[in-house]
Amino acid sequence: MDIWVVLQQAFNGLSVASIYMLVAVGITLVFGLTGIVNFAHGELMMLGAYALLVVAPQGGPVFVVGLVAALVFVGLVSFALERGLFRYTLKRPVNGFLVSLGLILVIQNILIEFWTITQKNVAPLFSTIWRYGDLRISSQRVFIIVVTALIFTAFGLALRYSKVGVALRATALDRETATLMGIPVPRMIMLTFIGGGILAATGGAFLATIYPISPMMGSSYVVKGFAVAIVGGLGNVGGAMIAAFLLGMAEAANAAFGFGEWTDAVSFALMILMLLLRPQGLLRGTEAAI
Amino acid sequence: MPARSVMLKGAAFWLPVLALALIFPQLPVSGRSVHTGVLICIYGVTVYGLGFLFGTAGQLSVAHGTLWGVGGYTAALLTLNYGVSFWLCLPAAMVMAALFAGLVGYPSLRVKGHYFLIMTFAFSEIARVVALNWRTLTNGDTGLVLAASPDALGPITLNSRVEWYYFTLFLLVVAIIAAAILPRIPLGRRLKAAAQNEALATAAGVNAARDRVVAFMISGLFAGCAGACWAYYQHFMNPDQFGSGPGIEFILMLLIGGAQSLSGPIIGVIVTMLLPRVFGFSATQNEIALGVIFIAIILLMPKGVPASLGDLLRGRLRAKGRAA
Repeated sequence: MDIWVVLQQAFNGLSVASIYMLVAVGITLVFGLTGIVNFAHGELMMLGAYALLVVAPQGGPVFVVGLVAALVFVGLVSFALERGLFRYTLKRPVNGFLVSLGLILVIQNILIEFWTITQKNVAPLFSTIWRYGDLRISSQRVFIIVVTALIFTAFGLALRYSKVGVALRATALDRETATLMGIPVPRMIMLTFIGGGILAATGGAFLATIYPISPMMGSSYVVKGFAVAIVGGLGNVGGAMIAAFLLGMAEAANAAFGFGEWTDAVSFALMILMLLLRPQGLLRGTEAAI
Repeated sequence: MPARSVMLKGAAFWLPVLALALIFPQLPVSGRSVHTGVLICIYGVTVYGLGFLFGTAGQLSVAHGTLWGVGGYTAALLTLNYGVSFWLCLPAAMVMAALFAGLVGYPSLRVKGHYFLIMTFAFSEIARVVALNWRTLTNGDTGLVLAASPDALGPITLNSRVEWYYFTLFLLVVAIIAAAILPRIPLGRRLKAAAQNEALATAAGVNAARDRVVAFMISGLFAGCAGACWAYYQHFMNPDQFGSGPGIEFILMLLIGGAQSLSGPIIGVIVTMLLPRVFGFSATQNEIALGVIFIAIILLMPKGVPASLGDLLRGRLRAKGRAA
């Protein structure tokens, strides 16, 4: 096999892994805090992508405006969903899961109703492509990788050192004790929903600049997000970051060996393997969030 | 309540319903109504399988929308590639769906927590993508066309809608009877015990994980049977017909009617199927409406509409009695 093919796939894999990370954090944190399996998280991502499509389909510098619009919009939607629906399911997390199933139907079909099922393209912020030998480095993908790395550095630092971050980790460890220590747990949960939604919207906006989008894509990305969350250990942000990288690379290797059409099965195989060998995930789950 | 009065109550509900179902095609109804009747019976079989899994084992699965796709594709491929008769395809489809259920259930049901839910959802999405991409086997998004009707089995022929209606109604009755019996056999009692208090059940010698996998496989049999009928009745099978979408709809049908009573699932299926016809919604509008109704039911009437309405009525009567 050609070394250029390997490098190319590794580079593409890294950019896709960035998007998986952005989606998975919300999934894993919401689960860690509330025990809710939220399958509608992928739809938040698609809402972000479509918000970008509405505001800035032509790309270029306007992309930044579109991205901000997407983040604000999805942040508001997440806020409304948490206050209006998920708040009432905290006692029985399985109800939160069922509500998320209903939300998939609603959001997916609203998107279909307005934009039909056909795929749409959004132009990227940067369209330059650098070449080294047979390697083609898209500047937009580099942008995605760099911005995601920045987001996660900031996020990791905030989670570790800021007051809100400590409160968040305490809530994930033990909701009751956190309440007794004076942490406003309901507000932490609300913040997690909003923050997770905003990160997912970022992922959706990034996705829209490198692949055509369609209303049905949310489900397939939420599966990847859960695969990442499970492999990393449910509730563990650090684990999710490692797992997203692994999944991106595994998919790239799969494509490099010429099984591109099976790419989506890789995440499923990884999940089964993980459940059989090490069900608590690479790093331990909720008990040890970061 | 003594067993006999339960049986009498059951008979008082089911016998008139069955009688109505039997004479339904003879009434002056349109062909489209009979068609809806067939779909209700086919969906009903799957939803009763799901109802057994949820009501007895306490597990919800999104995978049933895909397990029935497995059944449908099994039947279609066996017929198209090997000329196998429908009457052999049907059991083969059931077995195949049960095997896939075992494949998904074995790794995820051993582990405590929400892994099973996540795995059934992942399985649904992945299976759909594989069916789209594995063109040599599944013919991609074009799907498979099953032009032929099932051959006659003795006096049974399935050429017309009405014949399909009676055949699927028969399957539905079998499914309902099975769903009534399964919780009462030892397996069902062990499942119920484990669902209520797993630690206690395990201490009493119940292998809860294994029983749950078996329960999931049994409910897969229902889905496979329905899928094979669906493929033959519709004459085609393509990846859009399964995946998490139908899986969510089956859960919705189950929970609208309520999973705890035997009549709940069929009420849910009928209501869900008639909704677009009553309101004249398009397919997407219908899905949006179903999603909204579903969320409202989960938050406001978690026991299902009939049971919650019953509670409400009883509450009213009691209040009146007190006032008087």
